[in-house]
Amino acid sequence: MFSELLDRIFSRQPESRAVVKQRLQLVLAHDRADLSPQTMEQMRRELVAVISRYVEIDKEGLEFLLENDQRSTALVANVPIRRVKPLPKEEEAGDADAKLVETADSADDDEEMIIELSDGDEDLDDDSEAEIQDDDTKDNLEGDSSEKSDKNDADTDEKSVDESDDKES
Amino acid sequence: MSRIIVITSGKGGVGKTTCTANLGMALAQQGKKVVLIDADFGLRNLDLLLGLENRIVYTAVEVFAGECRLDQALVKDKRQPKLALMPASQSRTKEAVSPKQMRQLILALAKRFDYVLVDCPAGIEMGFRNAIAAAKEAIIVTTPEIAAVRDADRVVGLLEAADIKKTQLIVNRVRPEMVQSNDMMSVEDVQEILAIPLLGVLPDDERIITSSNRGEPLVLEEKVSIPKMAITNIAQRLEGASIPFLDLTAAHDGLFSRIKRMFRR
Repeated sequence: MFSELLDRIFSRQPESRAVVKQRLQLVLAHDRADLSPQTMEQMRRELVAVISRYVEIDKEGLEFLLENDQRSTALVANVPIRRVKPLPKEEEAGDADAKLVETADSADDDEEMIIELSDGDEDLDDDSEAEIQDDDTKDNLEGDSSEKSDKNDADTDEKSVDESDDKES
Repeated sequence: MSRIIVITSGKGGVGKTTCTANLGMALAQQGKKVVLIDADFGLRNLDLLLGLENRIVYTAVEVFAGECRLDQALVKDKRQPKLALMPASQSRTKEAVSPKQMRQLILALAKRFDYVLVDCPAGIEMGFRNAIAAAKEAIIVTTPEIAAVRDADRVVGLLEAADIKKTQLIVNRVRPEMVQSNDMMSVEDVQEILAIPLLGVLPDDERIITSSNRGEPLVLEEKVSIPKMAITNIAQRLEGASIPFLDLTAAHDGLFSRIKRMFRR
């Protein structure tokens, strides 16, 4: 008993109560959203691609995760910006396949942008799914996410992200 | 109007059946007419915890098949005349029963009793869907362990999807001395994570095991104990009484644990 006490006093291990809470918060955020790791990864890549059209970002410092508060889930992306690029040309936006990204206007204000894509218990709307215009990944993503939305009230973004020139691929 | 409450957890072995047996008995002691439905077809245990295993003649399956009347299958408790059990069949599996049949059975029983408590099997498959078929409310039983809380959260989501709006939480097997030394999640931690209203807290207690050995729900004991008080309190809260949660820490707060906490600050 005494050695246990000594262990306690000098131990540097974090308490298991704090560890289990943190692990649960993370695993529940993912359980509740019911998004596969593939979908998460694809979403991350597409968001990076869109943002990269306007600003140069620090890919190392990128954070992209689901958080939970009182049974609602939020997708939190923390994107450190290195440098603002010149605005994309007008004609690019007028292209048949390309629509201008609706939400990117805040990108040139700040050093760092946090996109918080919140939630809800409501079913997915049409415009809440990420649309991609250009390649065969479209079918994958849409098939995937609409299927998920049937099973579960998945949270999602309110922003429609159109992808015309994916610089990642 | 009678209340139809499903007692569920997702994970097995967290104390659903024990809670059902004791809660049913406690409500009956408070003068309510209570029927307990064992929805765990193929793995029934509620009869054992109530000590009624030798009195089963017919089960719900025979009622579904029209081989007996509803009241022939009901087992009335001799110790507590206001309590009855609707047993599950041990020889059939959960796939032999449909949510529609369960719904009919439960609604028929709801006409005669104040409380219908449905003991849900573990898992989220057919047995779960049968058990929640007619439920208006749910009680989630969990323990302060990672796997139990995760599964409980999944079940909370499924109940929401099934439009069962009133869902309350019982945290079972709490070990206050472990919580005090930060080796276990507290009731508040679990409740904060699951974000549903708390109905009650039950300590990890040897008496729960000895009472199940005897087939006598703990609330039948004359002697007052902390788990008995905790269950009686839950039954009263279900009836709308506002009763503070028991402070489980007090019993364990010996000199040594105080010294230990002093050092840890």
